Amino acid sequence: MQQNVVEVENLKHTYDNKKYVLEGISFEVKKGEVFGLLGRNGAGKTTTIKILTTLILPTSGKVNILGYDVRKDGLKIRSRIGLVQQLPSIEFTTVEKNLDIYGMLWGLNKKTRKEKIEELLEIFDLKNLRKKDAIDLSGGERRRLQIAREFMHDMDILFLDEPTVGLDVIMRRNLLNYIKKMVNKGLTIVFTTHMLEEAEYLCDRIAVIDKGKIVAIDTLDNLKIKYGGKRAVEFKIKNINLNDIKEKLNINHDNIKIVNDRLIILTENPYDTVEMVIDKIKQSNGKIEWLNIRDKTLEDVFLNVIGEENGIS
Amino acid sequence: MAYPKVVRLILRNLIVNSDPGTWLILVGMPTMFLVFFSYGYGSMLSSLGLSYVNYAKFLAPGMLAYETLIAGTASGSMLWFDRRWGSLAQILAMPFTRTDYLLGLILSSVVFAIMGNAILLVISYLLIPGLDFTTIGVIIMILTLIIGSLLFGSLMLILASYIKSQNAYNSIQILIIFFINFASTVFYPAISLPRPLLYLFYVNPLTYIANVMRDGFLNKVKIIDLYEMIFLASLSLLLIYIARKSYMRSEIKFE
Repeated sequence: MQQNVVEVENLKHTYDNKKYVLEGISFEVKKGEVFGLLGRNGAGKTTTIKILTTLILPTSGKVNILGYDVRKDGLKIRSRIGLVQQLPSIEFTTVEKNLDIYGMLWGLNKKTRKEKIEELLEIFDLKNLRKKDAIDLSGGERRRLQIAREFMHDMDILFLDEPTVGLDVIMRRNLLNYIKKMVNKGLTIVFTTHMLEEAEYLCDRIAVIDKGKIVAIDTLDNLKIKYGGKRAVEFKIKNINLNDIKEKLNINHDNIKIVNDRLIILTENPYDTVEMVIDKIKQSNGKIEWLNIRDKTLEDVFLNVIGEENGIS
Repeated sequence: MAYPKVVRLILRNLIVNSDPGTWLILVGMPTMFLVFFSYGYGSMLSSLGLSYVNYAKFLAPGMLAYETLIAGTASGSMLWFDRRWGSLAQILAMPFTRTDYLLGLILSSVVFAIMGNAILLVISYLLIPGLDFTTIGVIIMILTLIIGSLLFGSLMLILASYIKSQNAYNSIQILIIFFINFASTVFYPAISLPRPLLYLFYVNPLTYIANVMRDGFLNKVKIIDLYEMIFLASLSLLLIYIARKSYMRSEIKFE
């Protein structure tokens, strides 16, 4: 059985002793897992990351990282974790020097620093910018530097707080692939985002957090089964009037509609529905030009879980 | 083998903050005061028939004392920049304690003071003929500049911990620099001052730093200098303690 490297139990936090930004969340993360905290802005994701990285102390609850208590063993925890924070963070010097200073702060020797710098400049496409002052970089370039810097040192867990904000599509995909590579080498990732496709691409398990509470937590597949709702089956049919076939199908009006030249059916059992519709079309001498069963997405899960509470449908 | 943690933080602070602007403030300003005031007031004193008064010799150790104040302000500014540009949270998520970080800032100020004072001492030596330093005088000067930069470094950290707006911090810092500087014996002796001003001068730690520095510079070290240094060192320790307390409180507030 894989060991838990993050254990959070009934974690509560308030900044002002009045309003709780975290209202008793609990979860654990296993070694080598990519765990996503998904939620809207202000849901409590960053506060959770700050507590897990020992930047702030929790108001109450139990938080263990790598077996250490965040209240007592901050230094031990910090020596084995990395953090890419949400806010930009740079030093007022060149790109290369930024990486070098970071390596020096982590206690790496000069030779190791030099090798790491070359490797990271290549991976994060910063080679041409190595002599440029960090302050003169674009937002995306700074972000790349900030993420690259964190890989200067070895760690057991990397906390990424919305790391891809400001990155272009190519760089975002490169980063996610690099993270996957590091996970294959044994790194554990705790990742916050509000970009659903990223979470879908990267995370083994996801916790959906809203207003300081975890409202759903599971693997992506299980979340889709539990909260994905109905799946949409789309048909493009010729030689037949779509309204006629709609009448012949014994389906609740809320779950069937005609959009442009397509018949769309919302169903819990897409394969049974497809068989039934094909039979009806054959009986009416129609011909199917095209059909599509749309997969449940994390967006469906997110909207179903978060939407209900917030009046979004 | 890696350097000790606080040394790594000091190195980082020196690399990141050693820009031309910092050195212009650290060395350029006191040098300007030294050159212009020495010649300006020197010639004025001469024209008044007081040519036996060597104002440059009086002002040079005053500028060394002033340097400790300027170097001390660097710690507050570094805290502000680290907070503004995200480095503070980043460093605090590394294996450093908050005390390591605070000591790193204060000791970086001390290093800035030592480097700035060394340059100023060379400039003074070139500018003022007949200077002759003794070992005890140099030791006193070095100890004074270390104590002075610790004291002002802590003072500025207390300020930086409490003030939330950078503009407000900059304005208050400039005001404090001018006030402490002019209400001290850096530029002029505290003789024949009206009584309220005299009190003001003698509650100002820069007055004691300037007095001890001057005695070391002019080879006139007295036993009172030792007492003044003990007083300054005690005050520095108290301010370091308060700075740590204020910084810890402010961190929770600001994060």
